[in-house]
Amino acid sequence: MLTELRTNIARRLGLPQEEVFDGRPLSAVLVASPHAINSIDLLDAFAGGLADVGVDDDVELPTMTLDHTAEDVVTALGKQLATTSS
Amino acid sequence: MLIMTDIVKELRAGATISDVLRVQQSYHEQRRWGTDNLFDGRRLSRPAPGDKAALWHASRAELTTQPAGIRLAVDGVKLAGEIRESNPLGADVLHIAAAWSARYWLEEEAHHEVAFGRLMEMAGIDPIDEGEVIEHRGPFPTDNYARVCILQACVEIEACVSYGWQSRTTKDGLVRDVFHTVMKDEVQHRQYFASFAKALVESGVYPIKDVLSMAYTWVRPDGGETFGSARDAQTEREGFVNWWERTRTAEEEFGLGDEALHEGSVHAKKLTSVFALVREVTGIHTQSYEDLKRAYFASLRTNDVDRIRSAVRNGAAREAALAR
Repeated sequence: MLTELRTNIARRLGLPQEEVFDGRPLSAVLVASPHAINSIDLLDAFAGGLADVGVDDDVELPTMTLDHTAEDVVTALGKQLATTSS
Repeated sequence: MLIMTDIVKELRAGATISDVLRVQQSYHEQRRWGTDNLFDGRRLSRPAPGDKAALWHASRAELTTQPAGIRLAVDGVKLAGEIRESNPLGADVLHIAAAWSARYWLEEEAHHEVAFGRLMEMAGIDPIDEGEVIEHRGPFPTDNYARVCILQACVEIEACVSYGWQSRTTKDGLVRDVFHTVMKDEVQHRQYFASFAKALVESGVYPIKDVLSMAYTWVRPDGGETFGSARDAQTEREGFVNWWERTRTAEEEFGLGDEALHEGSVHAKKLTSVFALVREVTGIHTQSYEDLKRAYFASLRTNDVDRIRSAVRNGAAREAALAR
């Protein structure tokens, strides 16, 4: 599921998955994205990814700043999903 | 007519940009008040620590409305030019929003800045130094115009609720009158921003999700903008000030108590006001953060308002069934 989530997040940011999840901070993801301009666009991408996978009722998006990485966010979501499914 | 809440309907019925601006002008003229008249020989009688804290914050917050108004005025006209051929109705809406921001919002907010600044100094608090004034004038970055309208509506809600609370709880007559007078302006401003956002969605310039994303961002329990400086994680801002991220809490000089910020009736009023804003702008009824979250996530799958409403209703029903 997390693999699918990463795919959808990257698609919504208009970037290759390896670029979004290569450990760069979200501020650098914003710079690379052809259409995301600020943290609300990042929110849309992560929330949209959750909606695409169909788990949006099961988790809360973690608080994120532009210093975090996309993988930080997905890891936090994965922990929540592990809790709700156990 | 006071405020045109359905701008697209008026434009489609034949109103021109100038027709709408004349209604704005008329209402502005009806509602004007002067700081000199309001103060007119009056003195503060008993400024309490809570009054001083509220004035310290309000006088700084109001400084940032100038760059906010300039952003909306400049970006609105620029975007109107970009979409004039593809969406002339939306371009008209943007011209209307930009003109209101440039003329009436900026002018009215100047009264607020001056009124609070004067009263703060009358309360014995040092004037805001030039460096801090200049810092608060830092230009805001360009953003999606509908999101900015919702952001500003949420900011007006913060001001309405905070100023209303201060005017009700102060024991000083002048503090009460100034906060109450400014609050009445902020109520109108919230209504204008709601009408612009609604018109931008109805004219197809932006999808519903852009309204819902900002409302969700404002109220989300974990890290929402309404929690301002109380949030665990803060993003560093470069060149501009979001005043709600500078709020001082009770242990600091001129700090505000939790009852004036994020607790009790003040916080509840802010949330219900944002839900009402969402309903006015999108026609989607939400009564809780969970409803708003469902609406936002649904809007990332569809721009169909009925399907978004249905997602909110179905989610609430599922939650109720689980609770039984």
